[in-house]
Amino acid sequence: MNHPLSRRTLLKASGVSLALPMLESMNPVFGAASNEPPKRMVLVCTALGLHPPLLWPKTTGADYESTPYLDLLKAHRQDFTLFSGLQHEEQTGRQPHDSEMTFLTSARKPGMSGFRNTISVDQFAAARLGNVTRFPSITLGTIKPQSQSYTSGGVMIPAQTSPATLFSQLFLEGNPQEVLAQKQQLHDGRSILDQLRSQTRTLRRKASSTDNHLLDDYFDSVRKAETNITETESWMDIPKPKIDARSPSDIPDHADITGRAQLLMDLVPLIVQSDSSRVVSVMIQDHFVVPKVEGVTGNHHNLSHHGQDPEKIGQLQKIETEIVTCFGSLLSQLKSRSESGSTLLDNTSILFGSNLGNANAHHARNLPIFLAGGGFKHGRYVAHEAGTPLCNLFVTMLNNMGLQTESFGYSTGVLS
Amino acid sequence: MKYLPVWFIALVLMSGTAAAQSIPVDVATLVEVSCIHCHDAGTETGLNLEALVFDLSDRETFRRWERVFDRIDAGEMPPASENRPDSKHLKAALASLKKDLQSASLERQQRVGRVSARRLTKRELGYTIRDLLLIDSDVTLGIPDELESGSFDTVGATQRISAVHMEGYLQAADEALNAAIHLGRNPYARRATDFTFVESFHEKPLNLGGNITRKLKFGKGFALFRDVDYLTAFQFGVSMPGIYRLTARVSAYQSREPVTLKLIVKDPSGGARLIKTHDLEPGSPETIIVDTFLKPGDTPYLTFDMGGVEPFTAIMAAGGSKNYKGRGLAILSQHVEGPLSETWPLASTRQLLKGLELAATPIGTFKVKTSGNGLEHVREIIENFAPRAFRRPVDENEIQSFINLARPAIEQGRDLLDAVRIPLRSMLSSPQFLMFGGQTGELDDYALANRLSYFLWKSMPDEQLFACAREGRLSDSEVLAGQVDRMLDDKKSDRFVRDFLGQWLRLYKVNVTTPDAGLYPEFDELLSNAIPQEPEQFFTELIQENLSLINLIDSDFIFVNRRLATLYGIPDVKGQHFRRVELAEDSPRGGVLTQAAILKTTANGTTTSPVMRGNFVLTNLLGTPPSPPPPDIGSIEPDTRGKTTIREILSAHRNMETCAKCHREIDPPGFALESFNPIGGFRTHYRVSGGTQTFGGFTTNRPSVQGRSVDPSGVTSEGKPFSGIEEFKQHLLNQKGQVARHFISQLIVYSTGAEIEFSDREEVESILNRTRKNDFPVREILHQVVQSPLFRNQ
Repeated sequence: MNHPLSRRTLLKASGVSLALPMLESMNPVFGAASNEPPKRMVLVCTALGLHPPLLWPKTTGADYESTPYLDLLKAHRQDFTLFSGLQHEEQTGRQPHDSEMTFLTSARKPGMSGFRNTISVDQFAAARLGNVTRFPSITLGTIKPQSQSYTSGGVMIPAQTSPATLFSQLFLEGNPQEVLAQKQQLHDGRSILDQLRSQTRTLRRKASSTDNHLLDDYFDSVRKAETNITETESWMDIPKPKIDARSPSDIPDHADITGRAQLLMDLVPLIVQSDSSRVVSVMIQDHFVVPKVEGVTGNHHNLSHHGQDPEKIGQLQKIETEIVTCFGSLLSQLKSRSESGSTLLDNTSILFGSNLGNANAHHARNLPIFLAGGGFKHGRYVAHEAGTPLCNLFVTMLNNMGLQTESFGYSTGVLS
Repeated sequence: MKYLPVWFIALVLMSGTAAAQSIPVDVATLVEVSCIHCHDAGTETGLNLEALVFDLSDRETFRRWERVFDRIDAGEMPPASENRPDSKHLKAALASLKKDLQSASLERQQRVGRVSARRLTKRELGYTIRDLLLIDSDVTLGIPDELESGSFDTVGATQRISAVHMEGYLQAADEALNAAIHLGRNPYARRATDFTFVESFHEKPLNLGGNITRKLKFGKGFALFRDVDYLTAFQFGVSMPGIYRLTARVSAYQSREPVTLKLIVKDPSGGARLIKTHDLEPGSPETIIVDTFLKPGDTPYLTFDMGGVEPFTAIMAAGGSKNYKGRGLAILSQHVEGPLSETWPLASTRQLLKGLELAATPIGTFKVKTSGNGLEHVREIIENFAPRAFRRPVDENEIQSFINLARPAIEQGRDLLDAVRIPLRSMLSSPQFLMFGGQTGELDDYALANRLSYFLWKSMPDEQLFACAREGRLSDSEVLAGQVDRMLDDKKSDRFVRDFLGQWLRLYKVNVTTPDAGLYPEFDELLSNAIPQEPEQFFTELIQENLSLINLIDSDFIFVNRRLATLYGIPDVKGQHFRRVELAEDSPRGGVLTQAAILKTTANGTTTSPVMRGNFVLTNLLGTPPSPPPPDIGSIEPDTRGKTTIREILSAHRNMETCAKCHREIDPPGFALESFNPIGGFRTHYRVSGGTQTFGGFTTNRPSVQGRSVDPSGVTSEGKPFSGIEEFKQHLLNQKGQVARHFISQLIVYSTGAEIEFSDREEVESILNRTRKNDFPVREILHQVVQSPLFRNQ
């Protein structure tokens, strides 16, 4: 399969995406105050990288010559920009794949002694946006709760791996009895937190040690959790957006990487168009299995350590082709939906890339980075000077969302 | 007195009043004579002594001076290329610097305590909730995993708590209470699996998944010839989480060799766990009984290890499964019963609702009999629960504040159990439950019981330990030692072994990579299940028999089961249980470094890297980590096409002086370990991928081919040559004191939850010296650590 709109992809996606046209008219949330659709941010990472020789074009600019992976995105050539030369500094971690933790944060020396992660760009955006949507952010993973979204304290936010569960959280109202029980539960939760907060205040006064960072953490967390509960409670009184789509069925087979990734890609347009959240991060993870892809006998991780064996590179290409194709299908879905005279894609900037520049050597330099949509001028391959901070692109994306900021992480400016 | 150098005066002026301590003259002189010309403001090194004040109360500054001390003390500075300082001056400078560092470090500890506040780790929380509520479910799935911080997850300074944690705690508390309280009918059931389903597959075509079983000639039952998951499920609907008993009558079929039974549980999210392996010797059927935790949606099934032989074509050639002569697994019967419980309502329910009468209704469910005063019942439950949850006596104010939480619900007339859940959830999410705090100085008996219990059991104290604390006896050294022995003999100490090794030797990462099936087809489920058990069994033996820690470097014995023994080439090991085996004289095994778990953890699945393994030896075993690589250096790109070896690729950068400085130390242990492949097998040659073949639409791996030979020789950083792992271990034995020092330090960090500070070093040395006589016996070291002031003080 080498075309993003192949029949198979469409069939797989059909369960939910066919229903999309219904959404616009029914969207209850935005549009009341202004007709301007909101700006969103979607961040997709494929954790085992993309084989560099199959990705990078030899020529730059608008008339760059295509490559096997870029061929897969031919239909979207004017909708994305490919960047080279981007990276975070000092990503040699304790474990070879530790740069997974810092892809969206840029914190240095991941996993090394004394390492503490920092806030990820999606959480930074979510915090600035506040509770304008039912979910300030949504974090998705293909197989395990590992994610690249980190709180300001450096704590990982577990990824949702069940599209069906997420779908029901987004769109399904429980029966009245369940809703009542849920409200009671939230109410109890709030009084619990309230009491814990006053207890902690007392404990903090009593504690003799100057090092109170955990109690401080705890106190802040309780407050934050209380705010979250209050927000959840107030959203409970607002009906969920109604859509005419059936819930996706989860795929239990761990080997079906493509199927699992595709289900997540199919959810993103629903999340975005229903304005359930404006910030989504997706991690296509290492599944530790031989993926269900025709002609592939090796497990994904081992194939990424191909040791220049052409046979293995051939198999790796088959897997990565599927992943790039998933990205293409996300673009197609967003492009084909309109809102207020523009397309969803115009109002959604999508970053697709990897925390590894070269998985065979485990290095995190010259990362493969695509930026699509968001109303930017696209259609080019831009080769930046080696070592240009990826954070500069994050700043550009944040500003594009209207979240004005001078810097993020180790940025040194904006990416033009 | 010598006049003070200009930079020093500038430094004192610069730091102004903040530098209450002034730099000792001896140190100033040494810096002036031997250091400052490299480490001045224009330095290219990381250390600029002109800008370094001598304010030892500042933690970062302290650490820099500590490092200065260590590097000079170790003779690494000044470098060999510079003039040696006068030895008398050097000694004086070191002595005075040591004295200042020591007193600054002690002063800080006395002021704020050595150990900062810490919380339960995710694993500790899981065990505690189970022990506290007497449940079997793991309710911590929604709580974030511990962060990678480069140290143990018990160290408070690097722990965090976030709103994600908070929401996770509340959710865990809720799930735990759901699991603990059951007033419904006892759902106990027993069901035998009937074979009509599998019988419909006996004659089905192979391509429809059939023809891999056949009915046994005599009696009930069938034989299974392929390792599949869809025919042999135990038919049983798990109604609630709990312990269930799986019983199967099975035998080896058409085999002269043992057939290895596998009992696997599939879960609804697509995962599966292997819970039992057992060798069935040819002969009469055996009854296998396994008690295991199951939750709704779990499906246990039986299968067997095919030993890498796919019987597909052989079955076809035989004209179907009914004529097949190959080996298989005969299943005569299988059934499930459970949930197993001694009483109903469960002990967890009875304990939590102690004092309340639970009355049976005519339909078999239970009702709480209340006296009318709901708050009195709430008080009773909380008074019983709080001291166990908080692991110390709880005063009336605290009790009252939790009771108050239930008051509105009681007054609104909500059900008592509904109302009491509110304070219970609160307690299970409270800092009193989740954190260890305490005053500086000596730990009181309760705090000591907690520290000890979380060290050796990863959970709360049990009733006996609480009793010792209550009676004020635990701080008595003999009582304390008695408790340590009792706790180490308890099964719960397995948790310590697993968690400590999981982090110290990084064994939690052992299954992060899956070996390349084309290169290492012998890596199967049985092996992947056996490998992580070896270090745990080995280390447990060192504790139980009080054997020397030196066994970590080299030992005369190892722990294996049949599958692992096959990998190691050790004959005559029967059965899948682990047992101690004495090694032959010429065996390359013995010690931890040659255990498959370590060898696999330090490889990437496809290839080995001497850098990764060398770094492991220096960092994890010796505690002398090399300097981190220069920023963004990345790692070498392996080439498995067989033309170059990893050594040749490495030698290029060993020849560069900047790299060579560290790689002289890092690479040699890794070279010695090159004799072991990524799954821990011994090798004399590398394997090269044989590629794949496609036949009839199926793509399969071709067997690997033999590549270049392995060169495991090298020269240690002290210049001593070795021919391979055996000789290398001999060199390593010379560093046994360092191995023991690091081990003791790691135990102290892990058990107290704080890093080793400068003033702690003396105590580490003293434990080292006290245990040196008998070559550092492991159980004795554990005792010494617990008795040491570092353990017994905050």
